[in-house]
Amino acid sequence: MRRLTLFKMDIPYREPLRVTGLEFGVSHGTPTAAIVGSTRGDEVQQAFICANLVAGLKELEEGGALAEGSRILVIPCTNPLSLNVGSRFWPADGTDINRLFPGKADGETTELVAAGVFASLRGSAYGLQLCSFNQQGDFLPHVRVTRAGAVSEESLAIAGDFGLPCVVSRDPTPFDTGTLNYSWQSHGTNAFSLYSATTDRIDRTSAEQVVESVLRFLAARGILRTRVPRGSVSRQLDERELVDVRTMTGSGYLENNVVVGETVEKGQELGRVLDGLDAHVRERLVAPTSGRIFFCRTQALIQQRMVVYRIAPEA
Amino acid sequence: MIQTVFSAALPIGEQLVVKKNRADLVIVNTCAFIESAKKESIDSIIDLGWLKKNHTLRGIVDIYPALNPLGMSAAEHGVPLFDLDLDRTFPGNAKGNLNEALAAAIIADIKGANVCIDIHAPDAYLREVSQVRVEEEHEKRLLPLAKLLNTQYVWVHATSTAQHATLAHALNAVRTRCLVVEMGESMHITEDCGSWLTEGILRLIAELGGWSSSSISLPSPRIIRDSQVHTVSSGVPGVFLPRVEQGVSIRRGQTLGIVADPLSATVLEEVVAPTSGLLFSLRDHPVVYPGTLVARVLEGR
Repeated sequence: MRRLTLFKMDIPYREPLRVTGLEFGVSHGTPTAAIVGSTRGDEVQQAFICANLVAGLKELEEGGALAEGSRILVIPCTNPLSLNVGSRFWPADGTDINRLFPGKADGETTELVAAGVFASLRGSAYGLQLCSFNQQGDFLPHVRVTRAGAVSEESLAIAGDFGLPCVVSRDPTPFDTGTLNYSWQSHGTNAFSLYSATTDRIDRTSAEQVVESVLRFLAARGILRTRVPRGSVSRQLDERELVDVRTMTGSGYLENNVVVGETVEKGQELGRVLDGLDAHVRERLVAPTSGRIFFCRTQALIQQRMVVYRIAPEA
Repeated sequence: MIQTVFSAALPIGEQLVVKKNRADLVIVNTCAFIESAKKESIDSIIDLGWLKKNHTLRGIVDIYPALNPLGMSAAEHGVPLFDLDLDRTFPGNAKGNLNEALAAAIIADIKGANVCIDIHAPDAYLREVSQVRVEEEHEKRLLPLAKLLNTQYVWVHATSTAQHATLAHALNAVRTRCLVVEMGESMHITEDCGSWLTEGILRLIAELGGWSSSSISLPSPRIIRDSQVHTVSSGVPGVFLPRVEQGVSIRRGQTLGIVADPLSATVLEEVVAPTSGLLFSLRDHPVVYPGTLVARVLEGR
């Protein structure tokens, strides 16, 4: 394992921003596989997963498990400046680095960071990004493939190699065009977004599940020579198949009766919204279909018109 | 007539409500305050209110003073609940979360208008001359209207990927013409700019047949393109101290400002003009990073 400074920028009133990469295998050429952790300052779980992945890869490399000629690059955190001050976005101007890829070498500050990071990631055969959602909530760990390039279908065909419970495909929206995943695909990389259970808190169980899924994928692609326990048989579904349960009329305190991954029956009460002033039940949130809880909001306060649960319906 | 465009209950006894003011005039939607800092548009709205009361109008004008009322109230750029820039959320999703549903409701409300004028705040800490911004791909449809708005410049620019989720891009994509106006400085009111723009909006409305008026004679803007606008960025972190005023003529090589290191009290960088012309934009905040845009220079006279 080699520790590389992939990008460095001097910062006013603070130590320089250093984006550190951990390199395994050969030290030349574009990465066979690149794995990126947090791009935002609240993606603690994502950075934690990468740190654990680095520990696992180090052990495997020392045991001779890396395939000859392979190069694996792990970047646990592209934006330590934000992570260190607990700001989701770039502290000085609120920009989101994961909306600015591939960056601009002559652009503004965060475009420079995006360009500096992407210079190390461009041309990777496989690109894995640990992602988060912009709302507080827990996810069923899954891999997501955005249909944003010629390689999308190929990516979808091999996404089951992660052995995560779900593979979700989706069409890009306008705000996807600046993501790392989108840029990767534009440059021919098979790109995958990996969602762990949590974002701003560590969930060791799902972290271990995702680390293992990455190792399983790398082994399946011939990049690692190691035996990884068999994972789940992934269920493939289009994001449009997920069934949302929203607050239609109520707002107030959210009381969950279910957790992510739980199987629910049609008509089951998933949670309740209690009035903010007298705690009477303003709305009962009922499963419109049987299936598995794919996403569950965890914020204590809930507004009207919010998605509280997403259910992966029974196949 | 005050109408509700979107509402949603907040957790503790309050509604998020986006309102518009509808007058009988030509179909023009004036969208303001996508971010929270567009004080010029307050001036425009007050003056258009006068127009509504004192003239015979034809058609409909909708005035949206604040599409992000929570942000305005909190003096925040984004939507406070979501830590998101609303103007990176369009066209939204009616079945999505509150912020996405809000964006979709705004699009649904404006779609089909003859024209929408999005009165934008300049980027944070940047002072701008008055201008309309027009995406190159929509130049043919937008430029004739943009010229009417009584700004000093119309900037025809390429679209960056970051702009794909803006209100203007989303509306233009569904063939509703949307003009983006920028002027002055975010978090400040520049009354002159507001007055100029109001006159321009009235001229545009008159041109579309929205109210009876003799022709309004106003100066024509200069049409500029990306190749004429030179950006000047700081190369080092530190404290930027401008040495010129925004809006003045400058010559190539002239010092625009310095970047100093407050710890060693040394000048780290002298920021100079890359070309002769007009100082189009100037940073108005001292702390700069490498890559921070400190000025734009419009070449030529």
